[in-house]
Amino acid sequence: MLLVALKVWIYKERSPYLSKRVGVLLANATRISKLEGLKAGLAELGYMEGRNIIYLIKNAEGDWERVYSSALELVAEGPDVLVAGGRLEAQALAEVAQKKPVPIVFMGAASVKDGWRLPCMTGVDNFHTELAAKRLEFLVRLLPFIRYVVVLVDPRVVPGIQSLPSLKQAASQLGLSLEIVSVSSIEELKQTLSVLELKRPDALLLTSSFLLEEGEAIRLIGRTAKSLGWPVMGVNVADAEAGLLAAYGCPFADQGRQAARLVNKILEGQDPAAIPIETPDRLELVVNLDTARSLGLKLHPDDLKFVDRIIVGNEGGGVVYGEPQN
Amino acid sequence: MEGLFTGSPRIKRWKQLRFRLVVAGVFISILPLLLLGAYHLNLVGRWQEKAIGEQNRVAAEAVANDIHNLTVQQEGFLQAFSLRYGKELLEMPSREAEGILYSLLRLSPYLEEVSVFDLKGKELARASRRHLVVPGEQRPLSDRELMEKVRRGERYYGPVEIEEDGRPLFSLAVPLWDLSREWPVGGLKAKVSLKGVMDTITMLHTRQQGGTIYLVDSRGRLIGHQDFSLVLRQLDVRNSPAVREFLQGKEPPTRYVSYDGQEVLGVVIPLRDLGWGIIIEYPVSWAMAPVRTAAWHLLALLAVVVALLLLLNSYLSWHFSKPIEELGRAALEVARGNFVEVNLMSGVGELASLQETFNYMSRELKEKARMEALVRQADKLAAVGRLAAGVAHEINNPLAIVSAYTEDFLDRLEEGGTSSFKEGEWKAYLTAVSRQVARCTSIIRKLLDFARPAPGVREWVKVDEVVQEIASLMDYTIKKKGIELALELEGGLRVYADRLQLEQVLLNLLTNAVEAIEKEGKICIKAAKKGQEIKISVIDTGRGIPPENLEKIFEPFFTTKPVGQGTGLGLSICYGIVQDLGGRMVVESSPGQGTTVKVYLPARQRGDMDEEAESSSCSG
Repeated sequence: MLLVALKVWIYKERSPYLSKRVGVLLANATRISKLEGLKAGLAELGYMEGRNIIYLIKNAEGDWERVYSSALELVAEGPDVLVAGGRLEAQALAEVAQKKPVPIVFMGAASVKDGWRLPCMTGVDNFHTELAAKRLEFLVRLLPFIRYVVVLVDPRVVPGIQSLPSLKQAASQLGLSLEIVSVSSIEELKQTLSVLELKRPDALLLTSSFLLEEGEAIRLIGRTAKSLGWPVMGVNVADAEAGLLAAYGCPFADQGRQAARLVNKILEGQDPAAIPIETPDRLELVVNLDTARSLGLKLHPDDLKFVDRIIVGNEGGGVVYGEPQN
Repeated sequence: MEGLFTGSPRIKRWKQLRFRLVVAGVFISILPLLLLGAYHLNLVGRWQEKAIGEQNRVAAEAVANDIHNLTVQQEGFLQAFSLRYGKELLEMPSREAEGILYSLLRLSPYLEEVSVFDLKGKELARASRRHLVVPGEQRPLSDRELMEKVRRGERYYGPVEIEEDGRPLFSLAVPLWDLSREWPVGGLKAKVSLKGVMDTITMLHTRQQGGTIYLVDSRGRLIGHQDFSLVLRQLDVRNSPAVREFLQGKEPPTRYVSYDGQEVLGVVIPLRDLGWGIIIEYPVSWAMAPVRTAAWHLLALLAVVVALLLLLNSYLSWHFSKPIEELGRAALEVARGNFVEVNLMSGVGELASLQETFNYMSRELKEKARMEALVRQADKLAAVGRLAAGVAHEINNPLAIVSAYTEDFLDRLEEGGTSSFKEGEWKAYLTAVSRQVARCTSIIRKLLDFARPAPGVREWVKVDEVVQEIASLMDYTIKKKGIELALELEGGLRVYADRLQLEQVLLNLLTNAVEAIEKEGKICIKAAKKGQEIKISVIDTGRGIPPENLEKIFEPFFTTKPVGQGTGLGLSICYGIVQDLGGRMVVESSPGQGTTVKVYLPARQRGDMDEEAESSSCSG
């Protein structure tokens, strides 16, 4: 009895130290859905927050510079595994943790086949680069009338740049005229949109970018698109939920949930180098019917047969167009 | 025996009865438990292995059914669209057909790509989740087997193909019918994601905790696994006996070492139509965990039982061995001449009986000892009688001298008065008389000393002194018979004995030797050290002892002398005394040749003697 009591006491005393510590770095608030997916996935695998797992979360709130400082702070806390919200966070963590390698799992990053991956790194490839052409195809299928599409790309973001050749080829095959426009800041975006007003594109297509998934940028694009009647195809499902016409990709929460399995393997002691990068389990084409209506688009039910999810009645809690810019 | 003689507990602990009783008790109690436990564990282990094997088979069949159902479900979707649209799909505009195909993709998350084709092998429309589909684009199909089957109106399950990103997909095709003419006009082809299928299977069979489910195709390639990373790594599992046997169409062993080097209990179920095998493996370490737990419980139980048995057996062995030890101590006391009785305080029948027997023996021995003491005393008195003649002669001589002196003294006194004595003559007379009186006194004291019953006190006795003393006692008789007595005594020999008893022995032997010689002869008494013994030999040239009597001579009351001349106890008493002293007697004789009696007494070291003397004095 004494031995059992002693064992229970030791277990109780030591349990906080036996908890796994998972450091999570997010570049912006949009990626919180990934974190929620991660937590849900790990909970399904038996990791209950506060009981046997502790999350150390750093959110850079959309500040590019702050991503690196947050990465530094996170690595200093010595977690068992680092989880990156995306490619940008994974890069920052990898640079910071060079001296003391900690396994890194990214919850959705684009273009990870080009040798960018380090041995201590694994995760989910969100397929953003490969899906760029598919987005263009779906845009055409939704709106067969479009002929001239403007592609917004952040020149600082490698996957965005890497998707351009396939986009150009797809545009050629689909008989579209494509214009590539670079934007690397909100100010530049504003100027670009005002310039585009004159060009009157049939639609806009976003590429994988830290800037273009930010709430402020999406809101700006959404407002402008509504006022000018431009349909916009976003990268992340969240873009459509935020008010763009459509988006095609893997939902953030799914990316987080899929990454949870990889985090679990690392917590069980597997070498991250031996864990292959996975592609998304599920892809989703989302169309925001509210946005379509506000744009005056008449989508025939036959044209929506292949859509996975239709947002109606501001279901996504997206932008209210015309809201003053903060 | 040594322990009994010394009375000290020199028996090693592990040789002690008590210890052996404890060990034997524990062993006898544990052995059946251990054997039964081991047998039971072995049986449980077999049952467990069998149960896990059966459970594996049931689970594998369930998984196989689920996979079959999922694939049939995908086929069903294609069949439904085939029936719904028929050859319309071939005839409608490609854009419209693509819309229908995309709606088919929406129906099933497992479908990655769907296309419609005609019997010429031309893909007319396509829908894909990941790859660009240019509306209206037509591509040729290169799968000849697929085309042949569809042309025959059969469904088609193609081989597993690994996508660029590592995901395994397999092709599935159903014919498109011209319903009016009932023949195939084209087909619907789909690529099915096995990852999605395996994810669903894993989710459905999460109860298979501890086990591993994986899927191999007809070439033994890993196409599905709970840990999808292994599929992405295209792990080679063909070294697993289960996969090897499956590929050869044989029944795999139930217990084997799997691809990861772990010993497992496994089962393989081939999947109908697909040519794949579903394998479920349980690590033996996991499967046998309950048996291991039971083994630990058994060991713990054994430990408790051993502890209890040790306590119980210790008590019981103490309870049973204590009377025996008491008996041992009492026996030792009896051996020392203290005829004690025991009270074992035991109600156990055998012990009570043993106690009764022991006490009876002790009483008998006590009585025997008393009788022996009386006999010895009687024998001494008899010896005194035999000595009387010699003693009388011994005393007669000095008395004759005293008489001669006193008569002469009186004659001279009567004849001449006191003046007839010269100066100093009176003193000479008186001195002569006094010397003879002293001689008489000495002889009588010796006789009294011998005849007097005295408690035996052992001491260092010089052998030569005793022999000479006895010889002097028998001097008259020896001379009277004209016997020549020779003494060959090694100097400095000592034995630790009761002096009087030793004298009694030697007197007896010498008396027997004298009596064995009719007239004239020779007696030789030798004393010498032989190894650890002192040998005293009394050798006579008498008539000897017939062989038939030789073996009886130590028996009490055995005598060849006429009635009234001997008690028959002499040699018997000698034998008892010598044995008491830790020695032995040997008699060699042949009729007409004489007799030699050898007495061997232990020649102990001085230190031993001191210890023994101390021990004797201490014991009282």
